[in-house]
Amino acid sequence: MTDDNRFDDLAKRLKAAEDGSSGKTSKNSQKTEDSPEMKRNIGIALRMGTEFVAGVVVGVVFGLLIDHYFGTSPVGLIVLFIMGCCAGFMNVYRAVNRMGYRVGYNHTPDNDKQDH
Amino acid sequence: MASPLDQFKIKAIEGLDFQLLGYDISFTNSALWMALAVVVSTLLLTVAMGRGSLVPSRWQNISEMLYEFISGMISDSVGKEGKKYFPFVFTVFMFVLLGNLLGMIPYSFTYTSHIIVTFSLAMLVFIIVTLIGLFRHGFHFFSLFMPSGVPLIMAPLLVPIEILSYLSRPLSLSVRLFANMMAGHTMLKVFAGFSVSLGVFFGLVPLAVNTALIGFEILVALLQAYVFTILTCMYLKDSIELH
Repeated sequence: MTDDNRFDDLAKRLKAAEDGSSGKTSKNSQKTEDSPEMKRNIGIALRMGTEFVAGVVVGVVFGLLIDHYFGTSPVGLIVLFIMGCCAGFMNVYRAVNRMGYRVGYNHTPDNDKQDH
Repeated sequence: MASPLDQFKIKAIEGLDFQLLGYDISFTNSALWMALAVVVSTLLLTVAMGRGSLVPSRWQNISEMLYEFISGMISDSVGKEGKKYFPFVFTVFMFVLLGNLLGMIPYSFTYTSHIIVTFSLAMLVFIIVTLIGLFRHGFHFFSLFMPSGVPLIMAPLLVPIEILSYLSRPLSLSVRLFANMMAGHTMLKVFAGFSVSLGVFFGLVPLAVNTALIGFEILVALLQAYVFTILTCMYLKDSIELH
């Protein structure tokens, strides 16, 4: 097979591929608009549970550590458990509001726009 | 019959069990698959990209897609400043992605199904992101814990909560990845066990379920790598631009 032949063949195949895909492009572009949104939503749904639990666990661990080192049992555990719950709620709240999981919440129109 | 949890056992590779100063430093199956992940990603990104032809081959296409995916993610969620940290984010992404995907090969080992591996990764991300924040902003970085516009009287209550919330990041990051991978792989083994015990005819039903689950697991593997990376980007953004 000569080179010319090969290029002709390639050109033909390219054209066929383009024709085939051009019909699909409208569908595809629609799909790509949906799918990141969908992916993001699944991601957020999967995150919620751990967001809350992590806050509580960190609170309890620090409470136990404080009790252990300062002998304040059980005050440290109680106080930090409650604070851990608050932190967990805050994590979930931020995740729901798509505020980028940032510590500290600061509504500015600019920030809110950038987060998505 | 083997327990569904046997797949998570860490074993030293035959002939590679070493001891150093009383510590076990054997080359384990976990280490083997981590090394394989590094080799595979290196091969994928160097050999496949080697010729860098204008009309990409399949493998070159894959590596270009991966590059563009992460690069787009960084410019979307971190911004221009984040480009500097591309190598870090990309490395984390490839390591988690290949850990999840190589784990889907039968008889392989999924190192991301071990909490210590994912926790180390999450701590690495957490420490690096905190250090970036500290180097960029110095002491001002701690204003992260005091949201602006909050009355000063609330500070004693809010600051500890914010600190706890900040410290819970590596935990939620690691538990999410580990729990998803471990639960998925255990479920596969449990259904495979049903197939064996139900015999040739009725065993086909759990086999069908397992086939669907494998597809689902591959989705989870990709999704969790994505989630891990996008959260890394979010944390990076927090450190780069304090509000």
